[in-house]
Amino acid sequence: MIRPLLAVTFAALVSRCLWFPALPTLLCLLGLRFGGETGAKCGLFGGILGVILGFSPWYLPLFTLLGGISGTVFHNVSPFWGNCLRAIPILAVTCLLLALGHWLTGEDLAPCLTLAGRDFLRTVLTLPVVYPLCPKRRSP
Amino acid sequence: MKKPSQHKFIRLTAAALSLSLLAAALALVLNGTASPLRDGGETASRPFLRLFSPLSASLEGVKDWTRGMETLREETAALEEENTRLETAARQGELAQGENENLRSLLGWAQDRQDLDLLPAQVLSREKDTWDRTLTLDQGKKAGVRAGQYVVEAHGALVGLVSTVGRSWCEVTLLTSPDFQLAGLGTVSGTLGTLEGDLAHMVQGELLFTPFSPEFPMSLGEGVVSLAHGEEPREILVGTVTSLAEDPGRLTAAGSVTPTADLDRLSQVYVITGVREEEG
Repeated sequence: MIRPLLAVTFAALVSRCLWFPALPTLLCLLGLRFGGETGAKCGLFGGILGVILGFSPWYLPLFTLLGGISGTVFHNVSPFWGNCLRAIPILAVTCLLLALGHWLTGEDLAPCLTLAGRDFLRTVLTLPVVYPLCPKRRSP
Repeated sequence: MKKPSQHKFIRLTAAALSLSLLAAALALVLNGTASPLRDGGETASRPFLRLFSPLSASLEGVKDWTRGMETLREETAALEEENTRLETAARQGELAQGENENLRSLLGWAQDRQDLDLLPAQVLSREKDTWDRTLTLDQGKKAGVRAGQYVVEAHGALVGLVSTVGRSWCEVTLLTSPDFQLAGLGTVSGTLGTLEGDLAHMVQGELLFTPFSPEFPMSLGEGVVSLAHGEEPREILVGTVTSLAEDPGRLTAAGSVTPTADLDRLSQVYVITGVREEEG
């Protein structure tokens, strides 16, 4: 558990300092590799770190859900597709949820979708960089 | 094995939701003051900000090149050189009142704004979220910064308002942020209204100016300044009305305002920490 939490800490700092959305991508990969429970714990930890570093508090449940659902729903999907390909639809849904959340607060749908699209592209672009950061699951 | 794991996931999600509600409530209660945790987080991230700043600067450089902003970069470099020279003069103890007036004229700002106390601040980092526009500066409570203070750039145009203050840092909500709101005045029409950001305008790099009443219609191209209230600085330039739109619900033409300050290329700004009463 220590290695995933260290990776989450580093990704949170990178996200804060470089505006490089490494954290959501890492949480998604951690959930896929380690399962729903670990993914949710890492998501919760990442969300708490995010709030301490100045992100919106609403990322806390979002990150927890991201890590947990990645692991619970997609953990047992055929490994043929690989973690990166499985991460892409999960990240797309997360960005759509963000857009929906902002739309429900009264914003227009078009700019919400535009910004969600930008977010999604940036998170997908971080995959090659974040993938090596994600610790491998040790065989029992 | 599956069911206990799912229960734990639900419990973790519920815990996350509770914590986020608590954090949001705490932010409301503290009202502009950073919590000790947040203060500690910003202080802890400062070394990493400095460590990553060359890489961040490189990424910004690539972006600028693709936008074709070579000439503006030269202008900024010249201003930064001038700024470095002036900071050196301050460190050598040469900055007296006469030097302060010279600095204002060098910066190109109107000399009649000596009613304002200006605190220079460096931009530590830009927005950390796609859905918001903020800056983090290197001045905080220790230097006299308070939530709600105006932040301007070197030519006196408004950049934003201080939203959260820590011990040695502060966060500024930029003009185009959806959280920005300020009373404004049209310089030609005399229209009073509200300057506010929303996502639709943020994507365009603009903000919305909604008049209070239809009696004074705005004109395209007119300037918009801040409307002073109480001890706030008067008539700080915000931007220019670049488009007008009819709002069926209000019968008044709301306007899109393009900020005068170049919000994407700020490296040094000034916090207006006080307003002196004018003599006479």
